Formats: sequence, structure tokens, C-alpha cells
Amino acid sequence: MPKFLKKVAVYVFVVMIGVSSINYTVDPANLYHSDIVDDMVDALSRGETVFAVGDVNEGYFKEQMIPSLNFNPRTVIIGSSHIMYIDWEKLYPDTLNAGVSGAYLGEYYAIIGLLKANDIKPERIIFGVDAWAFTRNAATLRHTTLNKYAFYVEDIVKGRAAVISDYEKNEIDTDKIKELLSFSYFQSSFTSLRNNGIGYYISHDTDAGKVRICNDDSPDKQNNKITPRMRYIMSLSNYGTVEENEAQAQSQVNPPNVYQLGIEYSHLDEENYDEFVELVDYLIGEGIEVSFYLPSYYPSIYDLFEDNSLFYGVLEVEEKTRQIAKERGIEVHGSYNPYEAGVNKEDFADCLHMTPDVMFENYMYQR
Amino acid sequence: MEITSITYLFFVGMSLFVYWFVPYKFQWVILLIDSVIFYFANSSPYTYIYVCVTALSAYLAGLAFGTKKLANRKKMIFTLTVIANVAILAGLKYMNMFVCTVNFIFEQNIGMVNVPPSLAVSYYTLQIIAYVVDCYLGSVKAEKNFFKLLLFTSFFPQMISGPISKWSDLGKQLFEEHRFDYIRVTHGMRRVLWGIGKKVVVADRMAIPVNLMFDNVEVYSGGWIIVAAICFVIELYFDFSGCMDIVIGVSECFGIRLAENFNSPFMSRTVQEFWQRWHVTLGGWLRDYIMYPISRSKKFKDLGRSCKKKLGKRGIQVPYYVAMFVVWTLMGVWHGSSWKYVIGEGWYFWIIIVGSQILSPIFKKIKKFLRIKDENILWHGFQILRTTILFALGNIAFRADGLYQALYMFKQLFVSAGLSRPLNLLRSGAFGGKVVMIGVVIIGLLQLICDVSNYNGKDVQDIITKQKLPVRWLMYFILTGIIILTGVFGKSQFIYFGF
Repeated sequence: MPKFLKKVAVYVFVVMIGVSSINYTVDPANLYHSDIVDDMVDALSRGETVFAVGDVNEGYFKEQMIPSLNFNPRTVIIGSSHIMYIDWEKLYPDTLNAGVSGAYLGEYYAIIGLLKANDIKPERIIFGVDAWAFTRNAATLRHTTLNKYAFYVEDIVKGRAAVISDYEKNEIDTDKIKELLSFSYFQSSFTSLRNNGIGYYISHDTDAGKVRICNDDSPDKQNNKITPRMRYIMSLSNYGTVEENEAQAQSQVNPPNVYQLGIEYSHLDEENYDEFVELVDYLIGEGIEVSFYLPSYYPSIYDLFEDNSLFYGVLEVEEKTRQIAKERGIEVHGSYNPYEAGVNKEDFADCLHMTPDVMFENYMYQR
Repeated sequence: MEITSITYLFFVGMSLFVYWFVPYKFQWVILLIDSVIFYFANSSPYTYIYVCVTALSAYLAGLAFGTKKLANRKKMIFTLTVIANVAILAGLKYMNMFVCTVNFIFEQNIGMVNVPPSLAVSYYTLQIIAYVVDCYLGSVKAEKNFFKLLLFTSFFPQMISGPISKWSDLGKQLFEEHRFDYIRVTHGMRRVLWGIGKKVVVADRMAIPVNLMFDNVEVYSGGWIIVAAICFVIELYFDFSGCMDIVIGVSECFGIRLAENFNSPFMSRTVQEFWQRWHVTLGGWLRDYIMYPISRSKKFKDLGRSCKKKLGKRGIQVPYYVAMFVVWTLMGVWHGSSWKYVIGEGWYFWIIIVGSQILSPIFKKIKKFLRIKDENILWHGFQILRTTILFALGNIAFRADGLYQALYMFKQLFVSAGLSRPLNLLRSGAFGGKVVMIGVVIIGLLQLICDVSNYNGKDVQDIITKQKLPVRWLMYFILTGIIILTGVFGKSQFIYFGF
């Protein structure tokens, strides 16, 4: 039997070492290389604009950044990259842009929890409501670092007594250890390795490993920038031609496989949506003014939503959002329907994002 | 505690470690403790009382059968014990089906009953009824230690999806001394790894198109319903047989050989043969404890005689078909608390009747006319395809979201549908990229090789064991790599766990 146990140990050891070393080295979400994020937070809290570092753990970034803000936010914007590029200061002074790329309902909860944990109570919260947000519930986040804040605020919303310290874990972050051995994370690492090549991870002499300060709000050729109020400035390399954007859109439409929605979204998940409504009601009850923004989709992608019953769920989200807004006297800006909001194919930087200026105009549109 | 999870594998590893180090006479106690832990981790602890009551009823009945004073009440005790166990199963599983049916027929509005489910109740109830019947008939000796019977009822690897074991097979193995056997343990571990691969690489991946097509039947209509059904059959086979590989593999590590539930079902030439190779232990249970007792009863023999007088030679078959109808209905009821299961299983009954009475003579004539021999590979291939499609059609009811959807899907079979949507689905990359598809194909082909070898009487495990150590280890690491790279990870239950 000792021989057998040795063999099992060798097998387990090889598999674990293989998985964890690749996960740690490639680290596609920068979970184990947080020093870059810490440097970025330092610079931003000093009031400097920086070049955005690619593939950071956005959850960790928000967790570090919000307590380090050098201003008291009066308006907070919550949503995905559809709101991250908008210059909200033109409308609302002291705005914190707390968007998280690809945000789900769980991230909406988490950001509110993070604000509450840091005793930040804004006058106004604007939700950039994305249709995909309700494909998951409040307990399922894309950015797991923020889990505790989502659970914390979920309990508050449900009327249960909650103190943030109860949700914080011990010094050992078990989530990170789990992720180190996670097969799903290994699959992401493998994809990243295939895309970037092994040389990218072996030689760390690229700019990707360092934070660069620019203190200039103009768009850069290659990199996104982040301002101290966490607004993202879109890099010029993100702007595609109409033909390129249309080709991108067609790759999502034909065959249908839409960003974050996948191959179907035929029905809105009422249970998840109700959790959103509960959150909104809680905020209103706290005396916070709430607004919704429905960012317009690229026309060819919106055509798919109208024509294909597999995607009627998107239309349901808009209808339902307008309905609950009406019942509560909440302002609704924008529309998923680009034709209604007067947005053309030329107004898009890529098939997912309007150009920042058009995003702003799109927000100003009200039915 | 998902049986494909690291937690479960760790639990099994720890249990094995203790199991092999305790004195042999205490090994079964370790298994009982493990079974209780496993049950508590997977179901509400207080529902364990159902398991205890079931085991206790069988224990008392077994003792009573051997007591001379109660000899004249043996039949009554037997009947009451069986009724009590069936009542527990019905109460836990079919109460709401009964309420729904009453509401539907009598237009009532009786509320649903919230009964906490017991883990694997459908499996251990049948197992314990078989024990009671065997004790009653005297084919096995009643167990005098209640805790041993409790272990037989709740042996933890089986508490997912069976197999349904007999006391004569499992009872002896559970309580005998097991010495560490390197070959058996490695066989078991290999099988666990293979089962995990089948589940996470193929079954969970196939679930993506299956869910999409079954959730949107108005879009995926016509011939694509057959595609959906075949995809579901592939999902179901890899899911259920993968689960069985893990269950049997884990058991093997403890030195206990459980009954096989699959015997190359997709090599079957007819639906009848298919059901002799698919979910073998359930089929065997229904054959031994329902079909045979019914068809051998005096009333059925009388029925056979009278049918022969009225209908001639073919009349002899009538009692057999009546017994089969009972079996298929029970098979449907066993699967779940919905009439869709009864309809689905009823389909196979009619297919077998029509196949054997009407179509079989026609096919024989065609074969004779075309001079096709039984061994002809193309003919066998055609028979396999025919059987698979018929099996898949029955499974539409099995997978559909209720009876109405099942009937709707059968209706939609005759609506014409375009080619574009399903082809787009394949092209969309929604199932994963090329690497994932390669993983699915490799595991699929390996399973096919295993099934063909098994059908021809060769055991793949033996072939692997004969390989040199570097070759074996290379195989293990390649399989592990495929699982890690192309598997679907997250919470996903086995389909048969729900029964």
C-alpha cells in the first residue's frame, strides 16, 4: 500500500502543481499580482490620471479605490463599460464612476455594499441597466473579490441586521487559494496563454507590468486611461470603421451569440429582476435619488432582438424597467432601441460601445 | 457534495485511508459512518429517519419470517411491510402528482404538499422491497444486525443514482473482510476518472444545445426535435453512465463490486434489447419482482388459456403483454411524479408490441428478399440507428417540461423547419471553441471503443492494465488534461439524481 499511496501522491502533486503554477503565472485577472493595482490606486488617489493596466482584477481595484477617494462623491454611476466612458462631471459635479466591465446584478449590489461599508452615501445613483445583468442573481458575481459586499447589502435589503465585518474573511483569502487550484481559472489561463503567447508571461519587461502616469485627459493611441474619478478614457485603437464594426456585429448576429447574452435570452428572469427592484426600493427608502440609463445597442444587434424570439428577453427588460420607473417616479434615460434614441452605426466606436460623446448624448435622450 | 467535486473525492480518499487501516471486522462500521456523513451532507439530516424506518421495517419483517410463532402471519407481515415501504415512497414522491391529478379531474384547488425529499428514496426502497421478498421466499437469510441492514439500505456510493443491488450480491460483500488489492483499487480509481470525464466533458457540454432546443421548441421544430432528442440521449447516456462509473469505481476502491447498470446499450438491435442493456438493475428488479410474479400467477395462466382459445396461437402472448404493460407503467411512475414519464415509458411498450407483432415479420421478409445476414455490419448499423431514434423519441417526454410540452413537441415534429438555426448554433461557438470540441470528440470516441469492446466481450480495463507503467501514466495525464481543459465546471447535478 505505501507504493500505491506514493503513486497517488505523485499524481495529485503533478496535477495540482501544474494547474496552480499556470494559474499563478498567467493570472489572467491579475488576482495574484495586485501590486500593479495598488500602484494604480496610489496614483489615482493623489489625483493623477493613469494609463489603464489591461486585465486587472476590477473587483479588487474597486475595493481598494473607493476607500482611497480624494473627494466625497455626490453622484455614483453603477453599470458596465456602457457607462464607464461617460464624462459625468459635465452634468453632475463630484461623480464617482463605479462601473465594472460586464457588470451583473451581483456587481450592482456589491458596489452599493462597498459604498455603505465605507460610509459613503451619495445624493444620487444612476444605474446603467444592461439586459444581461439579470441573467444572474444578486449572489452571483463576475468579480468574486466583491462577493462579501454583495452578500452584506443583500441582507440589509432583505431587512436583516448586517455588519460588514461579519462578511470579511480572515487574513487568508480562501477564495484566492481556491482560484489558484480552479479548473475554470485554468481554462481562462490557457486561453490567455494561447492569445498572448508564452513569451508574454516569461518576460515581464513590457509596460503591462507597470503603472504609467499621464495626467492628460486626451485619448491615447493604444491604451485606455483612468481619471481620479474613475472615468475611463477610450483609447483611439478602440475606434473601428463602420465596416469593421458592422463585421463585428455580424459575427454576433449571424449566427446569434451576443456578448454576455450568449445564444438565447428569450425570457427575463423575473426572480432576478425582483432582486433589482428590491435594491432600488431600498435606495429610494434611504433617500437617494435613483435614475436608470438604458444604453443603445448597435443597430444590427438590436434588429436581432426585435426579429428573433430567442432574444425577446432584452425587450422585456426595457419594458419592465420603464414600468417600475413609472411606478416610482424614476427618470429613465436612453433606450436600447438605437432608432428611437437617434443613434446610427457611425456613432459607435465598436459594435458594443458608442463613442464617449455619443454615450453622453444617448444618456440625455428621454422618451 | 457533488460526486464530481474535489470535496467528494477528498471525502472518499479520507474514508479509504481509514477503511484500509482499521481492523477488518470494523470496516463495515466505517462504511456506515461514511454513509451517514454523506447522507447528512446531501439531504436534510432529519429525513434520514425515512431511511431508518425503511431499514427497520425490513429488519423486523426479516426476523418475523424466521419466528415460528408468527408462521401463520407471515403473508400478512410481508404484505404490510411492502405496503408500508411503497406508502413511504409514494408519500415522499407522488403526493403532489396525486394532488395535481385530483385538481385536474375534479376541478379542485387543493394546495401542494411540501414534503422534504429523502436522498435516493426510489433506489433504496426498491432495494429493501427486494430484500423483504427474498427473505419471505426464503432465498436469503434475514440479517440479525439492524445496523448492517441500515448500511445495506444507505451504502453511500449508491445514494446518488443506484445501482439497485440485491442482498445476495451486496449484503455479503459489505460485511466480509477486504484486504487492500492494488489492482482493484487502481481499476476503481481509473473508472472514477473516466466517469468524471464523461460527465464534465461530454454530458455537461451537450446540455447546452439540449437546454436551448428544449426551452425553445417553437423555434427548433420539425426534424430538429429529433436532433434535440438525440442530443439529449447522448447527454443522458454520458451523464448516467458517467455517474455509474464514479459510483462503481468508488465502490471498487473499497473492495465492493456493484452491479453494472449499462451493457453497451447503443449496440442494441431492438428497443427490447436496448432496455435489457440500459439501466439494467432497474429492469432486472422489475422483471424479477413484478413481471415474473404477475405472468406466473394462476390468474394470468388462466387468462393465457382463454386467450388462446379465442385468438389462436397469438393469444398466448396476451398475458405477457399485460404484464409488460404493468411493468412499463411502473417504470414510468418510478421515474417521477409526472404523467409525462408514464407517457414516455408507455411509448416503449407500444414500440415493442408493434415491433414484435407487426414490423418484425416485415423486416424478416425484407432481409430474406435482400439476402441480408444478421452479421452484416450495415444491417446492424441500420438496426442501431433505428433503435436509437426510437429510444430518443421516447425521451422527448422524459426531458420535456411537463406533459403538455411533451405532447406539443410530438405535434411539432411534423412542422417543417429550416436548416439554418441548428447549423448556426454549431457555428456560433456557443459550445466552446475548437479545443473543447476536440475534447468532446475524443471522450465520445473512447466511449464508443469501450462499448464496442464490451459488446465483443473484451474489457478495456484489462487492456489498460496490461500496458507498461509509462504508457498507463501517460494515459492518465492525457485524460486528466482533457478533463481540466475542456470540462464544464460548476454546479450541475446528475440527471438521475432527481429520481
